[in-house]
Amino acid sequence: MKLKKQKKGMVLILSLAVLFVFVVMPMLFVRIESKKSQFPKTIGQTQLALLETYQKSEKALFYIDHAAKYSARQALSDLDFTIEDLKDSDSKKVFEFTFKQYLDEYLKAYPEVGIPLGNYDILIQDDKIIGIANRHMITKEEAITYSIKPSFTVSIK
Amino acid sequence: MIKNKKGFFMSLVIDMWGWFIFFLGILFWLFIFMALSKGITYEIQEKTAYLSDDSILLAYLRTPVTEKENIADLIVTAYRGANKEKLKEELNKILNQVYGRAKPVCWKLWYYEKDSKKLLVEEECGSEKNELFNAETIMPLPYNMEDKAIKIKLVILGYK
Repeated sequence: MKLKKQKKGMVLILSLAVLFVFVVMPMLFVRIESKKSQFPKTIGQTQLALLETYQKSEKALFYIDHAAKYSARQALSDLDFTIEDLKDSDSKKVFEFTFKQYLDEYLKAYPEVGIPLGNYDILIQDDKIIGIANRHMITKEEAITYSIKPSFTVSIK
Repeated sequence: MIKNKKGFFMSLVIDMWGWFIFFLGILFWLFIFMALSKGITYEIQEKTAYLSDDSILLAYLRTPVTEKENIADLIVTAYRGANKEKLKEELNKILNQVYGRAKPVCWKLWYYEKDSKKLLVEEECGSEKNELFNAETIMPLPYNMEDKAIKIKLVILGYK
C-alpha cells in the first residue's frame, strides 16, 4: 500500500514538468502571439469615433427638428388650416397624414444617416406639434453603434 | 534511518529527471521569448487627429434671434437672397462673444451647390489669420424651394 502511494509521488514532478514545458508554455506562446497581432488601432481612435458618432446623430436630430417645422408649415399651408383648426379630430387626421408625407420626403433626402420613415405618432398641444418616434435611429462609426429615438417638438406660430 | 530505501532512491531519480526537464524547458522557452521579443517595441507614437466642431455649429444654428426665428432661419432667408445683413449682424454677435478677445473675429459662411462651395455671407479678414473654428452640417430648406436641403460650412478664419 505504502509503495503504491510513493509511486504516485514519484511521477508527480516529472508529469508536472512535462505538462508545464510542453503544454502550458506553448499555450502561453500562442496566446501572446495572437494578442500581438490584434492591436491595429492607435490610442484614442475609438474615443474619437465615439464623439464623431454623437455628432453625426446630433446633426441628424437638428435636421429632423427643422424638417418637421417645414413639413408642418407646408401641410398647414396646403390644407389652408391654422393651428386652431387642428382641434377638430377630422382636420387633425387630414393634417397628420399630409404632415407625415412631407416629413418622410425630407427624411429620405438626408444622406448621412438612415432615418427611419413612417416612424412617428403625432400629438398636438397648444401651438406645438410633438412627434413621438417609435423606432430608433441607428448611427454606426467603426465599432460603435449609437441608437436614439429621434422624437421632436416644433412650435407653429 | 530511512525506511523504504528503494522507493526513496527511485523517486529521487525521477524527481531529478523532472526538475531537469523543467529547467531545460524553461531555458528553451526563455530563449524563444527573448528571440521573439527583439522586434517588439512599445513606443507610443505621436498621432494627431482632429474632431470637427459640428456640434458647436448646431448650437449656433439653434440660437434664437427673435421669438420666432433662430440663426438657421436667417441662413435660409439669406440663401433666398434676402436680409444677408441681418444674418451677418447676428452671427457677428454670437461669434465675437465666444471667440473675440481684443479684436473681433472674421469668418465665412458657405453653402454647397452640388460639389462647389459658394459664399453666402462673410466678415472680412485683416492680416491676422489663424483658423479658430471649422464646421459643417446639412439643414433642410422650406418645401417650396427647389432643393430639399443644403450643406453649409462655417469657418472662423482669425481676427480682423
